[in-house]
Amino acid sequence: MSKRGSLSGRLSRLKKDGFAPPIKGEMQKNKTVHNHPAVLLPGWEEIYPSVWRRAVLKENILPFEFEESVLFQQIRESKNLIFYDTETTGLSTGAGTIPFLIGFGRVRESSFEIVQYFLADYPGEAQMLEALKRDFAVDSTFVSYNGKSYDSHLINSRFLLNRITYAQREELDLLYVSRRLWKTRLENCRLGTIEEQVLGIKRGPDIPGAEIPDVWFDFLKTGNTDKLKLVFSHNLQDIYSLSLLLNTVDIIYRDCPDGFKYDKYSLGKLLLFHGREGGLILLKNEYECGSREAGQFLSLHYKRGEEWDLALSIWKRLNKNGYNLFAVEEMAKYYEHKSTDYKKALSLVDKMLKSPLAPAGEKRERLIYRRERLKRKLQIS
Amino acid sequence: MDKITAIINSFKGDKNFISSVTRWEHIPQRDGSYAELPDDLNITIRDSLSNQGIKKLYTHQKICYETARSGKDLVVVTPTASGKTLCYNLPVLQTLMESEDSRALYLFPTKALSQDQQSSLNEIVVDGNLPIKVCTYDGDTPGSLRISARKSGKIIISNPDMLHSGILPNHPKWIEFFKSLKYIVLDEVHTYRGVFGSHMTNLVRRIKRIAQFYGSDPIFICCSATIGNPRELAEQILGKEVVLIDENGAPSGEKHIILYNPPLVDPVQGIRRGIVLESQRLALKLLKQGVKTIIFARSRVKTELISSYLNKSLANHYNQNYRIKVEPYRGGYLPRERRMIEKGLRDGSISGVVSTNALELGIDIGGLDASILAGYPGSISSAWQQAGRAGRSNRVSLAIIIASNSPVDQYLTQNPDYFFGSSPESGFVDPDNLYILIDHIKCAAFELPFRKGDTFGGDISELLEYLEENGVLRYTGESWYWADRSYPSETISLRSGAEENVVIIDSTRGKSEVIGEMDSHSARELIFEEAIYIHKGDQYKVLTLDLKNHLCYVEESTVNYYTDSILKTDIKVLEVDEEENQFGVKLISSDILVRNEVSKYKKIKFQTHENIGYGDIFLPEYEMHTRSTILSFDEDTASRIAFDRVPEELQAPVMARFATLVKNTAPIFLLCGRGDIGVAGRVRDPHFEIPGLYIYDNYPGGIGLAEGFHIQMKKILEASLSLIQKCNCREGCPSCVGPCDDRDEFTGNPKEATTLFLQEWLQVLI
Repeated sequence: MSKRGSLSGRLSRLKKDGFAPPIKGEMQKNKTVHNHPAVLLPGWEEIYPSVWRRAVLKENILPFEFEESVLFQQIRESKNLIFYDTETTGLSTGAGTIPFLIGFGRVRESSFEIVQYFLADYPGEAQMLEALKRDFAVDSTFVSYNGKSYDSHLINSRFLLNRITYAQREELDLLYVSRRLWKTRLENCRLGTIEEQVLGIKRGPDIPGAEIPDVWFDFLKTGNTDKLKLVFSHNLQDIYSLSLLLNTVDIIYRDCPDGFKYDKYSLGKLLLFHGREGGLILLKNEYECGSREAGQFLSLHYKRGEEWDLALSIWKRLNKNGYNLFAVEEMAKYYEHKSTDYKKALSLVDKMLKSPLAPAGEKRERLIYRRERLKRKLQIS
Repeated sequence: MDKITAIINSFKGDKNFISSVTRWEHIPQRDGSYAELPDDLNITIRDSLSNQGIKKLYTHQKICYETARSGKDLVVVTPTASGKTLCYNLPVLQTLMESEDSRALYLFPTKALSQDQQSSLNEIVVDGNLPIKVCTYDGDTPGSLRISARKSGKIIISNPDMLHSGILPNHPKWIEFFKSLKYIVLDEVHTYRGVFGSHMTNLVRRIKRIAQFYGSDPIFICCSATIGNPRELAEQILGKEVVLIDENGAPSGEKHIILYNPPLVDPVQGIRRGIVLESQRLALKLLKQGVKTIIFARSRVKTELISSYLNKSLANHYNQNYRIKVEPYRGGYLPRERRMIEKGLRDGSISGVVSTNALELGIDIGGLDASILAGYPGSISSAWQQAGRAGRSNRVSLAIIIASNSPVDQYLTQNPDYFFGSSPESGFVDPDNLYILIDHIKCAAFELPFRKGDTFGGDISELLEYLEENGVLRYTGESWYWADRSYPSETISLRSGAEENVVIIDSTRGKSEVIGEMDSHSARELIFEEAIYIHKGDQYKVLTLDLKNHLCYVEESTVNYYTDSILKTDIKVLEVDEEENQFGVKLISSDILVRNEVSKYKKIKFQTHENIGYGDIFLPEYEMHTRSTILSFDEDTASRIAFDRVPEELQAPVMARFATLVKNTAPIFLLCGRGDIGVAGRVRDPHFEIPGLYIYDNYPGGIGLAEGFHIQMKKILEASLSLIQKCNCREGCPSCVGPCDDRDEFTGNPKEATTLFLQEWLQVLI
């Protein structure tokens, strides 16, 4: 077997002839600055080589404790909550993505303190994580936005890859909560949108999330910190907004107040599911205000509780025009199986089938099947 | 007498048929050689096997068990129906039963194969109530099952592509799995050759790196079809020594294997009846007798042609085509279409199938009685696998291998010992193809930083520096870190070159329907503008080929011809690595620049296959940098002395014919397609200024074939001589040195001159 030239010899030949392997990175080519001048970050302190830290104090708007509610299954003191967010070098949670900025906020005495760790180069990562681990009390609850499917995985991976033991904390992901409350009411559920539309916050100069990875890589190569500062404040704002959002959500969950643009039907369902009185009230209100879906949901709730009169009154009202398939089917079931009034059931089904608004396809088949069964039952009796 | 025996007897009595048979190999039923189940075998596994009627092992299964259990990496050669799955399942299951934390990874080259293997594993695991969770983890696995597979899957069944883009880049999520990984099974390891194999070699380097990070050192169990160098191939892919287990203890049913060379139509030009017509004729005989038959065709186009001819011949409105249903099957069909056909074959509603090699590998299609190979499938091991598709269940079976006019086919039909003797073909990979290596170093750096001094199949520090220069790695604290926002494996395909597949869209009457896809390399040569493309028996004409956006628009068409493109090649030597004198010629290893151009195509009439005209192709030239072995006829070497004796006017034709011979025979020994290597002859080479022949890898950066040529050269030259000597034609034909279409340029007989030249030169080999 012939021995081919060394890899490097081959590489330089390929380069010379313009056939070097193309590198499909997304970064622009740029000469790396290996030893950029000492980073000057006002307000930050380099606590280990390449690991920077700062603490910023903000006004605390959180109550001393959160009452037991659907949001928190038991009383939770604010000082045990950790609001966190990361800024990363990529979008995936793969092993090559690194959180270069990890920030977290917590209640400290009368203020809300936000601590940020900034990784100024790769080799500092292990020490940054060790510091972070010391900061996170074991019994704290994390509050995040999309942390359950993103940030927490990434942080776990980083601890693992640096061979540092780390126990995952309990986590409340406000993205899921927000989706329930605002999915049908806002154009999207990004934290920025909710800040603006619900919390009434107007952000100052900011940087789009998609540009953040390149800011860090650019910093590594040039030492330029201008855009980095925007990333720091972006992270700071995200964390502070999380605390405001939690406060608002808590109020919404407990008091169901007017305002805040949230979806009352959706919240009502959730509260009812957890057996809360407030859920029933919300749904009733929604139904009174003309929400058909609230009516349907409520009627099924009454049906399960065998409160037939209440259920029937809703069905009758829904079926005012005679052609509400849901109501017709529910009533037909009721008359057939509960009050065994086959005639009444049959006339409802018949009327539906003969109407110009009669359903097609499978739904029609179902109605016909019911009609035929009712006819048979009528003959026998 | 059963149907198959009846038809075998009728063939025996058919004089016309027999006159075309070059070898009728009757392989009698063979008894197995058995060994006791291992003494230490877990009782639950033992019971489970016993419930399936397995009370002893074949000898090779036992040796595999002992070898793997003693901690050695191995490759086992597994012909069809040799009980392959137990070779790896047994040691793996035993280890998993002994220690609860152990894990195993099974890799199959295709998704279809993994599905099949999961069901065979389930027979032991589920039916035997073994507490071992087996999970398939591929692109089709729903998100809800992925988490539990990662956390609690004891055996993960996957494919190289998923490992490459899904598992390895996310290895921290797989910590439980990697830290206890005891075995890695690589099935069908002979398919990991060429481009795919070169990728696989690098993928194995990545797995080993990750396993090492988590403190595990898995044992590799490889399975290979019968090829010439299973051990060498496996050792190259794994980067370490392996134990070869190649005796086969399995019994086999009675088999008739017939090598069939269709009768000559034109003895002067050496033209024979075509394989499409012959296979269709023979298949009809079998199908009408109720013999379930599979016909293997060599290309997608031929698959479509044969099945549409068959269905036309069977067409009968009154009896639903004699109640015989024949379906084509090939890559490019949608998975749903494929599953329907597989099911039809199993339940018997389909009696015949015409397939490309897509059905060659283990996909379960039940027991068939006969297989017809319309041409050699490109390798002897594939031929055996395809022939083995019939008669799995110890019944008498028949395989007819029909030779085409192609030189490989003619060579093998005329030298049946190659087919029935020990395998001459060897698989090669290039673990250090720079393009492929660099791609995998990127992926590996994403997975874990490279520390200074880390190796990756060898020293790679300069390649790391190159990546650093280009800004995707950062060197700091004595390590190279991934420094790009992208996810590198996403853009790197293991299967073909870096280029994406071209999607074929039917736009007839304003439709816009995806009907298939093709790699862009083939697309240049097959679906250029005005080309005829055949899909599921329907004919389409190509409207536009947009290589930049990987789209090809076609519309239905009804012309009476198909198309075939003509390729032109220029070569420039860039750098010579090494020179060596061997077999009367100087061998030069070098890097070369190849420039390819397809500028013309032929129109060939259906049925008669006559050439009815030419057309132009307007595609940009395609350049690549690759590896080459040059046979240089240096002063005073035997090759040069022989070549100098060729009359001057015949030197160019002889060189061209020698090139054709090498191109025709090399694929037999290098286990590659004819298109994977390029061969170009030069009477006076512009670089070395002497006569010579270039053999090069038709893939950027090389895939190990030019290097493999050194090892196999003696056999290739001997085969070239044998091919030309045994061919009956007078002046050359497509089956040996190519037809004599340059008649007006010289007076002598180029075939004779070429034969003489090779005889004189190759005396040195005797």
